[in-house]
Amino acid sequence: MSEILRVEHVTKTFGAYRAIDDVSLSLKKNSILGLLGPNGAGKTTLLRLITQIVLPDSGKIFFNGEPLKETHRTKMGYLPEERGLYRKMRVQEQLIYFAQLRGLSAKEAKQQSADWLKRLEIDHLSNQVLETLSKGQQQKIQFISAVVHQPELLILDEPFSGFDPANAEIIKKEILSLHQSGATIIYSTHRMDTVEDVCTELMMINKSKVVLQGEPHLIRKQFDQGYVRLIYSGRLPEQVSTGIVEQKMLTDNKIVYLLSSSIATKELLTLLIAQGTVHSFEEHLPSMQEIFLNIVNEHML
Amino acid sequence: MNQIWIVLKQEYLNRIRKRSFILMTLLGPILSLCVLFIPIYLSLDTNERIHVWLQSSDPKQAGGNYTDQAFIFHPIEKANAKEVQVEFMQQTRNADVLVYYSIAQKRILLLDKKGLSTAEQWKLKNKIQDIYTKDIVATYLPERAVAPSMQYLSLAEEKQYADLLQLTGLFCAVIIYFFIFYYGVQVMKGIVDEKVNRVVEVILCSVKPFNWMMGKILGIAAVCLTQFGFWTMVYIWIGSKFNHRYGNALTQFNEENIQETLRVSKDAWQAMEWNVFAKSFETLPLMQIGICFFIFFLLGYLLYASLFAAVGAMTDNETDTQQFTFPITAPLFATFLFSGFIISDPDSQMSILLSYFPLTSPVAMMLRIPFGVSNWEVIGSITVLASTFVLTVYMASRVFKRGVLQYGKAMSWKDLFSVEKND
Repeated sequence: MSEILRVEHVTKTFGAYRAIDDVSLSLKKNSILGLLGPNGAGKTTLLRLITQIVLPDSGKIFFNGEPLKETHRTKMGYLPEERGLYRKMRVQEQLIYFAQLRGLSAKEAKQQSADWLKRLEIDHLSNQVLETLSKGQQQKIQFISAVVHQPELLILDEPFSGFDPANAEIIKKEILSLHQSGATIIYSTHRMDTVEDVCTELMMINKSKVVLQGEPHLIRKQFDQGYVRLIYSGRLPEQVSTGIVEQKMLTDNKIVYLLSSSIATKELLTLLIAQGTVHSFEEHLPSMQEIFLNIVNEHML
Repeated sequence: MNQIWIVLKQEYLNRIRKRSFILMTLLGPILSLCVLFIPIYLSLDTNERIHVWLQSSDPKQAGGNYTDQAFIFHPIEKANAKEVQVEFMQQTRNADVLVYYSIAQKRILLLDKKGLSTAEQWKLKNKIQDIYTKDIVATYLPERAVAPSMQYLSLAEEKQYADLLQLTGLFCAVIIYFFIFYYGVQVMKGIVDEKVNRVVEVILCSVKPFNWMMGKILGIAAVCLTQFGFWTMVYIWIGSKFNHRYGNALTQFNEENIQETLRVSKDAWQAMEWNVFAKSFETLPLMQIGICFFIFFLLGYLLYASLFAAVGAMTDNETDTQQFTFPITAPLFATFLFSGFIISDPDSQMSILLSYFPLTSPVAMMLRIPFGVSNWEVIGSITVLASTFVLTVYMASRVFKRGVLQYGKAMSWKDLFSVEKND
């Protein structure tokens, strides 16, 4: 699959503060990149560099193989973290305005915005002034304004913030549906659960630098320490109990263990079954949450 | 180009639908007419009376009996008209009009030093008709049954004419200053507002900063022209109504019965006032004033609006705009400080210089034009202004691009001057 976006050694400083330091990235068409990192890591700056809201101090960015230029703006959709819409304007009017700015004709803009309002079940709000809507409804309008022109590359900065779980699920479904219809998506988030469900690629930024990059399952594999997750009743065999990493009481007689063991799985199971009852036994890959926390803590030390 | 048009259209529609715009557009003509007529009304409502010297052989007849709220009559007994004239001209107090009978010309002469309004002139003529002509007929023209004619000579005529030129110049200059300042600030405020409410981030990921800036400037220019166009139409409508009512009202009267009509009809008085007012405008180079006003107004606005746009881009909130606003508006404001000088001496070197300097020319040239400025001089000034505008837009767009993209950080003067180096 061809490459839609390439970022080469990009650096951006604001005064004395280096927001992005020598960041490189390659993104294939029709992938979903999850951008992770603690607050202030430089995620938003990277997204603003891609959308040309700020310009890099050094390094290059390519879109569809061409150096990033003004005309590429209309091929991207951007949902900023700090939402911005015209508070006094009517919903459909501003959606049409944004769609036209991104290259749609007046007729297309009207049609597309009406379709999206219907799709997110808020078509009854189309003639309302924005400031009369709830925060969640405003977030939906903001989301539509980013996708209404059917961008090739959709950039979403914290797309789920401000949504209740039900609405977050709707947005997640829409993101996946856009992906299925061919869009490439980059989104930054703190919600690790969505990252694992949705992303085909991951990138973690910490202190302005890329600290981790790749496909989610490969990253998890990379951080695999060979742990086993076990739910067990009874006394653990002595050679197994030395490898307890973590344990938690589940019920009166069931305990959840995280074990590190050099014993082969088959032998281990035999030992465990001989001495107690095995309720669950599985290979434990670290969650993205754990990897994230590990890396952040490591860098803080 | 398409993006500029979309931003322009949106900006225009957004603003003309605002209640404040509708209110201001409707109230503008009323307010401006108030501003124009209240001082005139107040000046009419003074107790200052007009001192009339009346040369008469009969002191009783020319005495104080005829003095009323408008006129005080001073009887002059001297028979020599020339001596009376000299004395009248030398007298600086209590000597506004001299009335005497010229034996040689066989007519009554009224010499006006003060510059009476048309209404005052006609009131005085009627009064003279009542109190003076019988005596004159009896003394000098016993063989004639009709009263002698009257000739009114205004010695203050030139001054009145200069007043009209000054007023016209000032009026155009004030309007230009007001619109440039008001709408220029609107451009700046609009940009700062969109930075504050974060719409700018959504806009800039879709639109080139230059297109956005030009769309905003031209959109607000369109709003400004709409408002101004509406006001002009209202003035023209009011003018045409007056003209319809009074313009030809007096043509059906001849010299004799017009005086009779003026004596009894208030409408005729107003018609007389209107005719004099309309006639005085005919002396102005109206076509030149109109065209120049439009060009200077538009170019002046565009020049200042692009400067204001750059300021808006450099700051993050309205309070911060103050430090940049003053240096920009200072030249325009300074022109007003010099306005008295310019209208009193429109052809001085300073006046000419100010009418060429692009930051002052929209106001300074409009102050000079009613006095008569040659077309090549006007074209020269417009060329300088237009070239500066092109240069300013280019510079402003660079500052704008840099300033508006410096997200979350207001620009300093130092940043401003480093634009060229870094861009």
